[in-house]
Amino acid sequence: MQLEFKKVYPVFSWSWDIPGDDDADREIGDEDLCGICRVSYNGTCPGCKYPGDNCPLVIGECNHNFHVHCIQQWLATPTAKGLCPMCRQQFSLKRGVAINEGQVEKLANLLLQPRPAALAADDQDMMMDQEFAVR
Amino acid sequence: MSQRLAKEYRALSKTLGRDPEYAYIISLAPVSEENLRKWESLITGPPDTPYFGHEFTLQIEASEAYPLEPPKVQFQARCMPHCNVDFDSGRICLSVLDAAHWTPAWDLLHVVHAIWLLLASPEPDSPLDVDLACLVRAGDRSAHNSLIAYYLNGGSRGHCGHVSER
Ligand SMILES: [Zn+2]
Ligand SMILES: [Zn+2]
Ligand SMILES: [Zn+2]
Repeated sequence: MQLEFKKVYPVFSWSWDIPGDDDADREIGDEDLCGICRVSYNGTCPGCKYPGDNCPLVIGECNHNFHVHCIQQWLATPTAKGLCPMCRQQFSLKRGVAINEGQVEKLANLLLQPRPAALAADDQDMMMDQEFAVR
Repeated sequence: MSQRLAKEYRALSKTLGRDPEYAYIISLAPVSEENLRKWESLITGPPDTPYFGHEFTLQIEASEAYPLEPPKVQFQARCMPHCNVDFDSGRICLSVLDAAHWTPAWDLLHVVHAIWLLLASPEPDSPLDVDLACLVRAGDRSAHNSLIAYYLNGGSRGHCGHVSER
């Protein structure tokens, strides 16, 4: 018998290598989703077509991860005040992590924005408040 | 980011009807599958409040920028007597709906839940209904609750909910 290959369809599988991301302490069914767009880390943000290097992931100092495009959009809004959407700490990129390299510049101007002192004081109050507190 | 609304819609179909924490939500869904920006929710009032046993409709609208911006949520006009709700328009005063406090980590379910909690804990310091806020501030819970019960059971309310004899 002679086999003839007419076509070859290469299939690749990949995922981001997230340091400290231990499968063991994760609940079943609790997927790794970007907290902003709710798409998997290994998928793309709503604005991108191809996952991977075109739509990279960044890791925050607070260990919250986002598609770089999602966190960029959030930090660019005037109401973000430089805070992580998940924990409301000042968002900054975790240092010494391979994934973050190359993304530092993209976020640099958003992260370094000086905050007015009045706003900073207001945040402090807010963190003390309950999540559902009334204005 | 309308994909995010589609994700929420899918997740809700699993959560609602299964999670007892949200048993008070009769429905939370887009008005039409064609337009995921407009939602409606039907909720029942919390126990131990004058709202218990009544159903309320919330009208929800998510902007193009959602979830970077909070959704707009209000009660159906002239249906919710509450010290943080403008009775005539249904507008709600609540921090999670305020752009300055919003975070994209929250979702429509979170917002509906916050509003439901507000029904049980009126906040007289940011009133949209002066009469009810006065009663809360005066600590007269029974007068407050019976006035709400009166309105909910069809009692007439002057055309302007803010008229008070002072
Ligand atoms: Zn994302
Ligand atoms: Zn992207
Ligand atoms: Zn964080």
